[in-house]
Amino acid sequence: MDDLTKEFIAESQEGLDRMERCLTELETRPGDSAQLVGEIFRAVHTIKGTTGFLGFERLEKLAHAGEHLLGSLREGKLVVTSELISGLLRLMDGLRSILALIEATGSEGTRVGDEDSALIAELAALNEEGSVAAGAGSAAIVVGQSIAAPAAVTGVAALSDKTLRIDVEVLNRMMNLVGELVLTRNQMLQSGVEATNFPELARRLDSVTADLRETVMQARMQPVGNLFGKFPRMVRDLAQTCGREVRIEFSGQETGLDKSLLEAIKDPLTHAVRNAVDHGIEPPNVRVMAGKPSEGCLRLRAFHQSGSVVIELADDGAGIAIERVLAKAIERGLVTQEQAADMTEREALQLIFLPGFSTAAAVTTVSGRGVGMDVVRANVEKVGGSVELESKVGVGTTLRLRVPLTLAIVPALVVRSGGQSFALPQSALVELVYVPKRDEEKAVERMGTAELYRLRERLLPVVWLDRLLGLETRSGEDRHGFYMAVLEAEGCRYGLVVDDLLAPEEIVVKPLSAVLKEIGLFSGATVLGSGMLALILDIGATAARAGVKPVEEEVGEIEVLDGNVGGAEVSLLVFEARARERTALPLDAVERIESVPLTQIEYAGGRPLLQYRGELLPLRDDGGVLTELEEMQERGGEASVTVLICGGSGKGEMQRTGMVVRRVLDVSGGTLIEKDATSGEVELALVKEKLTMVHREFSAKAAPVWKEVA
Amino acid sequence: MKIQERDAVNEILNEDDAVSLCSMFAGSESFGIDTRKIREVLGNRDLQRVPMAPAFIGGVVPYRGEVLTTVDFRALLGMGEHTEASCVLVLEDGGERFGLVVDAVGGVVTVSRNMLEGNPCTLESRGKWLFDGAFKMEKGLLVQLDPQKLRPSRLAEAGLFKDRMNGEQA
Repeated sequence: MDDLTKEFIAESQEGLDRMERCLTELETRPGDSAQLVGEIFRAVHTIKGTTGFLGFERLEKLAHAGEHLLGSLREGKLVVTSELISGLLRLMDGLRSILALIEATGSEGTRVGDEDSALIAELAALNEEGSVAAGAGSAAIVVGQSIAAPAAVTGVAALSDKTLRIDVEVLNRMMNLVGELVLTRNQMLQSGVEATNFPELARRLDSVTADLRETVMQARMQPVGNLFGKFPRMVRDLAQTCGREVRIEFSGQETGLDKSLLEAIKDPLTHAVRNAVDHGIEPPNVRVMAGKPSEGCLRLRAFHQSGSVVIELADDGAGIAIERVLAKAIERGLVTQEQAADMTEREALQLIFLPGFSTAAAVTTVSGRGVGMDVVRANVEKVGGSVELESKVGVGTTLRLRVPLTLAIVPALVVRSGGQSFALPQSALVELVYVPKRDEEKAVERMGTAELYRLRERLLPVVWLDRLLGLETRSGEDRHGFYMAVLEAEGCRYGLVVDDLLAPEEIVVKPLSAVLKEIGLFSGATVLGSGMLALILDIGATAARAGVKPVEEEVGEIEVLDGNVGGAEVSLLVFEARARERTALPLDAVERIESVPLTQIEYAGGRPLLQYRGELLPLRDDGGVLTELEEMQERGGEASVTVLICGGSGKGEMQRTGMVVRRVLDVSGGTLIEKDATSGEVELALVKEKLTMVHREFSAKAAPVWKEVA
Repeated sequence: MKIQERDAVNEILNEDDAVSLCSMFAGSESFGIDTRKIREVLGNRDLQRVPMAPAFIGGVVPYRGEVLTTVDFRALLGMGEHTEASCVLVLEDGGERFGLVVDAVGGVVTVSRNMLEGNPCTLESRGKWLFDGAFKMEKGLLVQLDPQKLRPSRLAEAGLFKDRMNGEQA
């Protein structure tokens, strides 16, 4: 196939994609058809024009018939009807199949030529029938000629999946940066390490690299709208097959996502949409009986949230009946009767993700063959994402796919074990525990061969990384204790013991060769800032290798609390400010915990202040810690004070404040019990059965953030 | 004497026959690989060991923005670990790029293909897999290696090198 034909195919496919979107839109809003019809007409016209030139006669004939019909539509001789749209969609399918044939074989083929004549006849019939029916009163539609073509689109076919359209401006910027990079390299080579301007050159190299990286990332970013564009047609067809009335709404189409990730979530999302139409939304009569509009609504939303992109699919359908899920799970032998009886709603919903599960009462042509949500979850998790499901019977179901912005660069913590460096993805890291040498003996408890650590009164399985990987363990003398990274992946929670922690780094993930991938413990490798290589540990696989099983009960416990008290359970940082009193702040309100030498605390107008990162922080000292420390210092001795940096973070109007505390005690979940009548801003809470005061003045700002998470 | 001289002349005349091999050493033996299959000689590099990897994997090394998997040639031959500096070669054959760790790399020798002798029938199976005949040089035999057979994925498939084979040849 020559380049010209290839280009033609890619271009035509894009045109047809555009046509598809316009057609479904046209059906929902026949009112402002001028622009849409213009768009569709142009797509078909371009195909017709180019095809005659390239000599694909069959394609030309079909395109011509379509153009004729569209011409009538454009001139206002026809009105938009459902039959007309169906006819045009069939025209599009016809064009697509011929294009696919050309792409595969290089010629348009003649064997299936008969099909076309039927289609052409149908189009002609539509044209005649419509022109009779069209009211003369319908105003002539003027089609604007200068309609900007939509931004680059990823096509359906293999050819356009492998290519990517980039804004020329982005490419130019990239080229400029590469030029800059070469220049900097030349200067570096000429001047050598000893040169006086070397630090400056290194800095420039740093900034050029950062810019270049960002630009390349930007070029790879595609709006999720490209993916959403395929759904209106699909939903329309599905709704007709299943006898449903469904409307689809979008928001956040412009949210950018790495092309490879977009590809990765395409199938799971398609599957989920299909599920929603087939199982989620009820037939119109059932909906009316339930007091809902007969037309169901499917909402696709994409937005950014804490470094990842969330794609949310919400329907206002029947929701998932927990009893049916449980009954099915028991029937399929996925859980026992007793297990099912103990399950919380949330846990039961998770069963849907088990392989071999389908709740559809009947197997339809559309979905319900037992492969389903497990595949969705597996695919999303493969790219480092996660899936959440929420459902209320009678109200609807919401499925959330959370995927990282990009695959290439991930924040990670670099650790050392057995003399080697390993990278742990931050996404799996829950917290870090340091066990000093003197506590080493009693910190880890044994139960048979299993080793456990008591983390806030919960037993955590302990995995020694060096032993697991068969590395040499460090000898007793030079040990200073060990660190334990508390990790959570695929429902497993465990403590991974390492010798040392290095800096957290943004690492560039490099794939490993097939032989090393087969080991199954490493998801890649990365070159650290020091030039050393570090292997990236696959947290889930490591857990599986060490025999750590997913622990469902723990999750359940929290959910129960959550359900009963209606979100009153919060994460708190517990500390002591006044002696013998436990006080807490919502964890979200605390930015940092700093240890500051007492000499750095300054006073103005009788109030203590701290200069912190170019900002003047007013300090709050409820417990009189500063006075106590000062007395201590006068008696000789260096004193430093622990300050919690609270609030700020740019969003709220509240200024950052420093809270002087005696010591930090714990981070824990607590249940708020009542407001203390004496002071409006303090509430009492139970944290691990101990009475604790909670400052709430910082949480007003943090509350909306929680809501978004919940 | 005369016949030998003529051989040398023939070798130079017939360019199709000439092969240039990069010579390398492991233990006391010398080996050769076709220079066209060698991308680069990296010299002594710090190798990052990969835990739980097959014994013949020497480790990984950063190379031009990629992570290069290396094959430890001494381990393939069943020799103990080399204590002094070793040398990493980058080989590329059939699309797969990988590293080969040997004790040292010598010069390039041009030999005639006619001089190649096939593997002896008494060679054990691992040797048969690794070696591709030998050239009779003045200083001793130069064993030819086939980069195709040294690819980490092929070695893993072959299953001959799963365990260390201490003391077989060392």
